[in-house]
Amino acid sequence: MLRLNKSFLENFSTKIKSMDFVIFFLMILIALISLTVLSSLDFNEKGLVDKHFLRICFSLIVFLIAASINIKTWYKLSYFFYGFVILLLILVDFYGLAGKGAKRWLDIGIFNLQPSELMKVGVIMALARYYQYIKTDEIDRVKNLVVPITLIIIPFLLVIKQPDLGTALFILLVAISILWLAGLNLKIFTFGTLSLLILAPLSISFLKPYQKQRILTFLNPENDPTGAGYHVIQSKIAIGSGGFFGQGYKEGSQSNLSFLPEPHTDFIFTAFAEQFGFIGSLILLILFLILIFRIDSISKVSRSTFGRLLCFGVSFNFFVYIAINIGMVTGLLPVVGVPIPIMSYGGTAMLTSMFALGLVMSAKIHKDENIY
Amino acid sequence: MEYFSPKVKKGIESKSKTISRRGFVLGLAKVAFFGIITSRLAYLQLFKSKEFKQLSDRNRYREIKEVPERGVIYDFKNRIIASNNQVYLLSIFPNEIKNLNEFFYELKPYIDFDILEIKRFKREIYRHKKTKKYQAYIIDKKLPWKVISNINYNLSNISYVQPIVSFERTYSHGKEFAHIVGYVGEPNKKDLKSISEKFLNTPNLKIGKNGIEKKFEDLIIGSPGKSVIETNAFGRQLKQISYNQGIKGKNFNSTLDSELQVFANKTLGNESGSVIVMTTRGEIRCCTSSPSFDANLFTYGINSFEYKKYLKDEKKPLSNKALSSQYPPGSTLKMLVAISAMENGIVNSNFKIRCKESTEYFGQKYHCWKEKGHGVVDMKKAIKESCDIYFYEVARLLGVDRMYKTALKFGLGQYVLDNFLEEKKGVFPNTKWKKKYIGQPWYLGETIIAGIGQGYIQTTPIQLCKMIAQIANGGFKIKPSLNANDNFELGEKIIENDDHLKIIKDSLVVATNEWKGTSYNSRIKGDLKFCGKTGTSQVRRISQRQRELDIKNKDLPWKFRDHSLFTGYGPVSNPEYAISVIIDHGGSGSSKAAPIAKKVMQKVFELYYPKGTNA
Repeated sequence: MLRLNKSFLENFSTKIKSMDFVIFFLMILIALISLTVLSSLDFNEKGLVDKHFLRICFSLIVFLIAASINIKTWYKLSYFFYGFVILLLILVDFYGLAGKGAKRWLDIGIFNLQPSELMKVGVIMALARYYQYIKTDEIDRVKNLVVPITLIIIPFLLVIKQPDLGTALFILLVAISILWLAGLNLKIFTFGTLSLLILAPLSISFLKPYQKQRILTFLNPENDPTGAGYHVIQSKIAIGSGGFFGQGYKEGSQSNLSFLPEPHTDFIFTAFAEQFGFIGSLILLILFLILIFRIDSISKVSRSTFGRLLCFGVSFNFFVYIAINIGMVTGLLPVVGVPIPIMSYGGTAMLTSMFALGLVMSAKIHKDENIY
Repeated sequence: MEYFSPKVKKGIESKSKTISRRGFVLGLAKVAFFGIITSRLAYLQLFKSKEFKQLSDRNRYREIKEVPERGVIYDFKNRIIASNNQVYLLSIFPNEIKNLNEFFYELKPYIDFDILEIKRFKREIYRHKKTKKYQAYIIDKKLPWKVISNINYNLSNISYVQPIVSFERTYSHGKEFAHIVGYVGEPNKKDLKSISEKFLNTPNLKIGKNGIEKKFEDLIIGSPGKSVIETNAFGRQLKQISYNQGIKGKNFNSTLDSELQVFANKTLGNESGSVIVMTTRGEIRCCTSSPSFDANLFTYGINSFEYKKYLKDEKKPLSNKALSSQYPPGSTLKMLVAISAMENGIVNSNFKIRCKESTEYFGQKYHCWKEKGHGVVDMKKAIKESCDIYFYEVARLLGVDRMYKTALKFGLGQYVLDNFLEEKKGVFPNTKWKKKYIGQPWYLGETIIAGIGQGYIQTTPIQLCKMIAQIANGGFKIKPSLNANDNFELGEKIIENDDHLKIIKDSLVVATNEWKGTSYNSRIKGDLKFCGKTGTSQVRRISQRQRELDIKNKDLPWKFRDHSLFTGYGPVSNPEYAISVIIDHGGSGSSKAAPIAKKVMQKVFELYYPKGTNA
């Protein structure tokens, strides 16, 4: 037993030694930035920073474990993990905690779990696994489209039912990116896009009033400065007032005097940009960009299709999050409640981000393993 | 196209190539989007930064102004006429408050509002929001210090309110001084346009609306204090950024005498009219108008019911009659006609005329007020007994243009005070004036009635008082004023020949102090005497038919009755005080105005010539 443990530890440490330290340090750095921003905000709720720190630690452990598990094992676990998250999504429907008109969370004691966040990784894993064995020239066959579309549609509908349109669209977007990467014919995408365009006006009638309002507000936020457009306007003021060097640490008046809504979650980038200015924002963006391309580079050295698709999926997922979040807070895109990975305050988001990076790390460590 | 959908070969190799190629395309998209975001950030943080910084400051800073304490208004013996009480009020910025119900609910533990009050405030706040968007709204409920200190203590927990220490104007003789001192009130839209910018958005700002309060506003009002406070998104105050203490308004020393003013107003009683007393150097000691109202009512805005009542009253309680009512001067003008005629060498004091009941010029009959006539009259008798026929003839010989020049010297038809809101200018006509404003040539008949102060001539009570003061002081020009700090030295001489002046003065003395004089019944017995000229000015033209019917003045409706006038001065031996009394529609000058003048002049003697001292 002792021997086994020892060999396990030795094994573990050799594995960790071969992981990609650029990604690891970027991850730690961004997490530290996030702690800095949180500590700069005066909060009514005490102990937010401590809580966030504990969550980062917990997620780091999950990261290390995920990284040390063989990519083959993850391959085998993919459908199981996917199925497990689907189960959680169904449970949310029955036992979920409601907040702001939606049921999104499961109370699991330590923190409130948001299964829709986990699903973003779940769907990547399931699709990557599916395409491992599909031959390239058979990929466009209708028979081979049934499974992936089912894999996408089930979580999509479950999340939309919560209702959480933003996350549902994310899952769809990330899933489609994997289909495309896997080699699906461009014609199918063209056809799909066209049919979506035709369906879009129809689907608007199914939107909740607040969702319609968000789209209208996006088109012209100044129309309703105290209502729904308020968030965007205040966010733009905060970012803009940061100027080149920023207002300074703890000097962000917009985020500290409650003009900025949710400066710790969806608008954490705004709080950062107000304090650290254009120069800070630029550095942060570059850090994220390096992280994303570093993940892509692992994809390229991975031997298995599963590993490659997994890494691309994760990097695209990160990209979409960052792009949409910053696009939203700068007024380029409509307000959709999305966190920014490794930065925003939120347990599941942090866990999912680090878990996903753990998977990427596993692909790096076991890059020479092939799955036949 | 080849690149985006490559012809894929069988096997793992080609599959991984596809993934890599497509991954590269995605990579390009990522870089492109990061480029867009960076340029957006550059736009917001570099190009628009200044603008957003301003918006951010506007979000968190509140400028709260403090109303300055108005200067105290004193009478010439340093008795307070207008002063200030400290009051505690709450001010709010209505356009910050999103929900009024919540707002009042939050205040409930601190202030005891009843339902009706809340309803009223809500309605007013709503209206205020529309019309005076950037002005603070004052919840005009006087709050005890205990409540205010409690709110101040809990200020970081209550949104949107700002307790203010403010001042409310109080007038010690609100009724007697109402017209001349004026009152203060909230600035209206027009006032806000003309007011200095530093006063904008000052909660509970009251400005002088009329009277001295208006005329000396710049001096009295002071300068508001200002504090800048940082608030959060919910309007809660966090800390004070800066504080400038305001400057208290300067005190104003007026020439008025409270005791005399109160007495004169009381003497007027319910009559509609005015009393003015000034020293013969031009210090206005008393300037009261009747009926009056309580100026204190206007500080908080008078209710519309009461205001309408005042507006409808035919005796016009709101108007400052001493400065703004215009009357034909009637016989009080006769001294001026006589002076003009003598100075121009038209007649001398020995000029005599036989007064029958009436006289005729160009087929038109002109009557004397005395039915049987005065017989043979010289100038002294004509003034003493106020013979109309005598002055018809003098006026005819003199002509209106020469008369006008003398009137101009004495200040008739001209403003007496500088820039005093309520003051009217009056009219003293001449031939050019008639051509210009009426468009007709001057008729001789009009010169004749001008000789007894009728026709187009319109004068204000303060003009008549100034005129008599200038006769009393020996014929020197004066510049009457209400400001005790003004220079009250005598000006240029306007009656060149002292003999002429002596004749007029002697005539006035006998008019009051000798039997048959028009104001003989109102003489003051004793060492100190006064004298003056009565006047009765017609409101309507008496037709031949009416004259035949012999309609008595008192039988007419009030507003058609004659005005009763008196102008005079005292003490006779060394004239120091001039007086003018006018009673609207009071009948003859000797019956109404003269007795009031006598009482006021007695009071003047009592006040300024204590027993034992002699003028």
